[in-house]
Amino acid sequence: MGLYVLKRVGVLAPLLVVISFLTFTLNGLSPMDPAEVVLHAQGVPSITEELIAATRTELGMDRPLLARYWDWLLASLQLDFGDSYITGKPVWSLLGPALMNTLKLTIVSSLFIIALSIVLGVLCALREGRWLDLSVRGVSFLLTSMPAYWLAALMVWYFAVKLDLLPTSGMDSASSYVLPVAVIVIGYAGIYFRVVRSSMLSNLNEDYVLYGRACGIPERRLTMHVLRNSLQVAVSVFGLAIPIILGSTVVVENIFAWPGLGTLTVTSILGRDFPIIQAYVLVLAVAFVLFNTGSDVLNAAMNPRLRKEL
Amino acid sequence: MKLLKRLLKDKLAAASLAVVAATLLIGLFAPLFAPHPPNEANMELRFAGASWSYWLGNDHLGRCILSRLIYGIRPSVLWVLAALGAAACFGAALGFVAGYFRGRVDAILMRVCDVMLSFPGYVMTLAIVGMLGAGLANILLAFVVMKWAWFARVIRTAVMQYADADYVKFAKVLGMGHFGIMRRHIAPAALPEIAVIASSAFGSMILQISGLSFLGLGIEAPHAEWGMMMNEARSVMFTRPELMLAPGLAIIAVVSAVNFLSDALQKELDPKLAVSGKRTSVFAGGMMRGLRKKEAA
Amino acid sequence: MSLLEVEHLRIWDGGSGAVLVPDSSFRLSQGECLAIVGESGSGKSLTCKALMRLNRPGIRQTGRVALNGVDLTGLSDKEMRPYRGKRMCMIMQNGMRAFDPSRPVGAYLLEALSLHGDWSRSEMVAGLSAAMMSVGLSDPSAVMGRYPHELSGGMLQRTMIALAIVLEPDVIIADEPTTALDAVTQYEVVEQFVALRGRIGSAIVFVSHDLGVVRRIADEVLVMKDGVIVEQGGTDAIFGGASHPYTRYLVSSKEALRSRYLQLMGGDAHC
Repeated sequence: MGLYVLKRVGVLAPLLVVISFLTFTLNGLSPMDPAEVVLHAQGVPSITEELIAATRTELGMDRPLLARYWDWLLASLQLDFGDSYITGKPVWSLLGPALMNTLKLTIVSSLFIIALSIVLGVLCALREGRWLDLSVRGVSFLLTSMPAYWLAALMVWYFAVKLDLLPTSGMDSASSYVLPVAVIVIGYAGIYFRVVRSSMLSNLNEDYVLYGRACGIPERRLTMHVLRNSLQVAVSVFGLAIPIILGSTVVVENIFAWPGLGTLTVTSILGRDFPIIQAYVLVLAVAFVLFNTGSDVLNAAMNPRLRKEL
Repeated sequence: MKLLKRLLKDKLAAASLAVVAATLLIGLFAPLFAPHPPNEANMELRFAGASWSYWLGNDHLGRCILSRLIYGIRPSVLWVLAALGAAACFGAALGFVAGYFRGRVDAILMRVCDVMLSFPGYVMTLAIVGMLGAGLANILLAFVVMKWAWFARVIRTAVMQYADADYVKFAKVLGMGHFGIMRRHIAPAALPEIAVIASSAFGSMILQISGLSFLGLGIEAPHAEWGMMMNEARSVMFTRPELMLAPGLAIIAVVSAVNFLSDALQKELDPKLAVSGKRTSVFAGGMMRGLRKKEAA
Repeated sequence: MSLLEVEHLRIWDGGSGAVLVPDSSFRLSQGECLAIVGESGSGKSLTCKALMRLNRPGIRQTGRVALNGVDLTGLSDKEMRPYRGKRMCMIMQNGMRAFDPSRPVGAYLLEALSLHGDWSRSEMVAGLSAAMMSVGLSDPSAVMGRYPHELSGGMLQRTMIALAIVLEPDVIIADEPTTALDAVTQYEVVEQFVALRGRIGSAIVFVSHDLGVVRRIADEVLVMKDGVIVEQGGTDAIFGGASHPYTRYLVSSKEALRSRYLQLMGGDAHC
């Protein structure tokens, strides 16, 4: 087991380096000269060639690529991603709190999603083909085909306007969590519950269940064993749920004016605030890879067969 | 085509296929179907309800909602399909090469794919849109960049499985060229896999593009696009909620149909997912979509 | 009265209504070995599972299945459970899939044993170890600590047989136990079954499509085709001169192969 962890972590390091490098060179994608972008962002009225050149030197953009990359990497490891083009404030001072807010939303949503998926998945698998199963599947199918913002808008309209129960914007109190979390959970629980359900169903059809019954093991014990096996699949999927939800909150945050990562990123994109976008990409890519690795390790811990592969 | 016949046996799958096909056709021939030009503003008709000449009423600028809906198929659905196709072709080509020739080509390509797949999809999209600016073309580019690695990976696996088959070795012995083998033997076998993956990505991509447009990062005004229509409707959501209805329902209908079709396809191609056999239901395949998200992401 | 009596067993698919086994009747006496022979899809597995009422919920059955006079078809699931394992035991085809992949084999065996008797843990382990050594597994504790995917098919088969030895059921139902094994292991496992008969005096229902194995181990043979028992009788009678054309076809194909083999090898050998 330890060997597997080591191997996984070993693969991780080079990957992270490459990711960071790519993220850094992301700037080069832009058709506009980065210096020019800075000036635009700051709203400088007349941008001349000399000004661009001067800004370039000032921001250190005329140094060789690798040197810049190295500096950037070192700084990033200390959470210094430079300054925002628009506001001039350090990126992390904007990104950090936004990340925290989004994390809160994500974690709360993830917990509910996991709980709901497991409960529904197990119930539907055990009552497969019956009314409960069919109706839950039908409803969840529709819900996952629904754009999140549409659902959000509906809920906002209903709960906030018609019933005037819940707040619809900002992150002020516990009750302001309710609507955004509900929207996210409804959208995602549909997908994950099916994973749990399918996993359980395929396990229920396995021979070891038959053999267990043939040896006289009671149904309830067998169900527990099946559940344990099914959850392995589910956990690996859930492991990735957090980073995915982390990013998918963009739209929900927008609707509910949640001061999180999504809102920040959209504003940055519209304002072409590259350092923030860069930092966002880096942080999320790293988080993603880490979660991926973590989920693989967890999986291998639970399912000894996987330890042989890499 | 046998596959198609089997697929159509399930009534719901046939219905979804009809919906998707109809949508594509209507979008392609939008000028023929739309009763009015989509960008024609008539201020005196602002927020008008449904009427004989404007079946779905008018929006906040007096434009015909139905026409905008129809023209909106183009960016929301058709262009997404095109981007998906491009990603699929590009990814499949690379996957073929990697899976067939193996060795160093394979190793290099797979490392590249690994890196590409390490970036979550939406991050990639936002990054590209962020760097290149908002707009439909950039979003589509982002989609292609996001998805090609996924296709490449899966195709490579499929090709590796088939390339080892005896009949391929036989063809080699007979002196068939590489390209010929790929085309005649491996491609038909891998095609269903490609179809399943592509269709499962289709639905989520439609949702994504409309989401991005909703945020204002997508197609530029005044072009019609479903997500943007909802964005525009948002400002009057409390007074005129009905404006949100039409594009929302359109999206739900199309995405549901696409997802359903994808599940049906998958079910046909992988009978193992046929669960307990009491009733051949198409829902069972849907799990793979969720799991493929894991693979992709 | 026979140990196991099956009368007019009828199995059909509850969903589609298709009849899988129209009418089967046979008997099994104490210590006897009955082989059920047939191609894939002939209904052998269904019949076996029906004896212990283990078919999946969509499959329905009627008829009388009596173990020592008690009709099993009338029992509820709860009443049926003590029978399974203790009175009737099953040995499955694919050992790798018969055990829970996430737990070591030993945990599973102990759980099964603990349900059927009041032994202490050490007694169970001792009993299992003795049984496993007697079937040729030389390191029982190592085997019990392993996961199913770490053991070979043959070892898993032997483990299942060992469990049966400890449980000492009245009837052992073996559903194609040797089919998934290679030839050498097949031989060894069949020898185990033969030895089993002598040791605990259980009746054995042995399902196979391999006539060579059947000839070695069975007293009576049941030939099934498309769900119907086309012939039943003593082993020698079936192999010597069967009445039903299908049986004759099966036997003669096998015989033809065997003759050819002997011809090539130049001599007479009894398998």
